[in-house]
Amino acid sequence: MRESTLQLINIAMIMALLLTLPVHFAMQAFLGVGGYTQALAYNTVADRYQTLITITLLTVLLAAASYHGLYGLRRILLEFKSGPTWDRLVSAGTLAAGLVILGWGLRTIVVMGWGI
Amino acid sequence: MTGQVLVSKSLETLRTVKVSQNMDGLLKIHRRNPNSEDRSTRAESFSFPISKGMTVLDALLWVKEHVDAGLAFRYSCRMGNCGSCGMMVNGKPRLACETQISEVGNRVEVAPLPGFPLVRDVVADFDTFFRRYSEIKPHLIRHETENDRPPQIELLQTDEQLRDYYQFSMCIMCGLCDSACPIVAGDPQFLGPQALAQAYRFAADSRDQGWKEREKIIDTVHGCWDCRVAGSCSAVCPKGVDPDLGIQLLKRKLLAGRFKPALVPEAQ
Ligand code: SF4
Ligand code: FES
Repeated sequence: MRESTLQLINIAMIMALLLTLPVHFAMQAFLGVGGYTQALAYNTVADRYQTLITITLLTVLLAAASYHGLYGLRRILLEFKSGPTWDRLVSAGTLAAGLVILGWGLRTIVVMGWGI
Repeated sequence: MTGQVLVSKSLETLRTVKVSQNMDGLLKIHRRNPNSEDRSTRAESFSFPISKGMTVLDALLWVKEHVDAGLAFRYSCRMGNCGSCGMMVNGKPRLACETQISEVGNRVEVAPLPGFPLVRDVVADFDTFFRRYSEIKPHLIRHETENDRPPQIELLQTDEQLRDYYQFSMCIMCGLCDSACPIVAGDPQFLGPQALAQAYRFAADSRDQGWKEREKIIDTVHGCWDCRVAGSCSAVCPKGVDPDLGIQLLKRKLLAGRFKPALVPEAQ
């Protein structure tokens, strides 16, 4: 994939983070049942996986944060060494890490949302 | 000090040359010959007479002429046009022929450009620099058929079209930008600010049709996306090329092209 395409996706993910993060923090702090003190209580957290809006929000947040973070990590790792083998290794490694994080996160969302 | 040149070859050796001028300047030169037995870098200091309008290159020439004919440095035009005399002057990449002694003070320290292999003394090896430059195909590319040659039309440009790339065409390939770039220093695969700014120079030229070819070379992780906008290239460019701007415009053109190829018009 062209580097500009990856960069474009990164910009889109930053936009998504800018939109979803404030809502996410607001939900933690004062929008949720029980307010700030109950934000991390089991039932409050579990409740967040019950509505489509919050499930979508968390999925977008997961995808955006993992892409943005791993894209940055890839750029840092690419600076450590030079050479096409290292480049391929780093790109494949971060892609694999992204898929694992996404898979694990989605699994949590599905398990919590649908109780599977 | 009057009437003599002090040449401190090392702390132990001190040589004097008789001249009848005020030796009020001191030139410290980092010297090394990678092909000799002693490959270590040593700093040698030479005093020289300062005259009005004297440049660092003039001081080097004076030392070469009067004291040490073996001193190696590169120059040609002596007027900031050829890009040959780039070196570190008091810790900053500069053109020796454009740097007046009055600007930098009478104690001048010169060293070879960092980020380049060394030929000798302050002469840097530009092979890799020129290879990177040739990678971006630094010439007008036209997709003409055999029948079109010579071109059937004159490739006219408006003032505005000329302005799009004029600033970037001022590059004299002195290499100061590459030597100042922290990414060039750390990533030998990076194309470097000079080559990338020249890629933009042709991309912005209405007569050029080579964007597709160049896009493949610059739209890579070691192409323009390796630039972290440190800006040191533009800070040292003696011709006001602003290579950093060229790189950011390249990025913009690449991203715009991803949305809508029509935003990147082909040349006439
Ligand atoms: S862009 Fe400026 S500093 Fe870089 S090679 Fe060209 S003239 Fe020299
Ligand atoms: S000698 Fe030509 S630029 Fe300095």
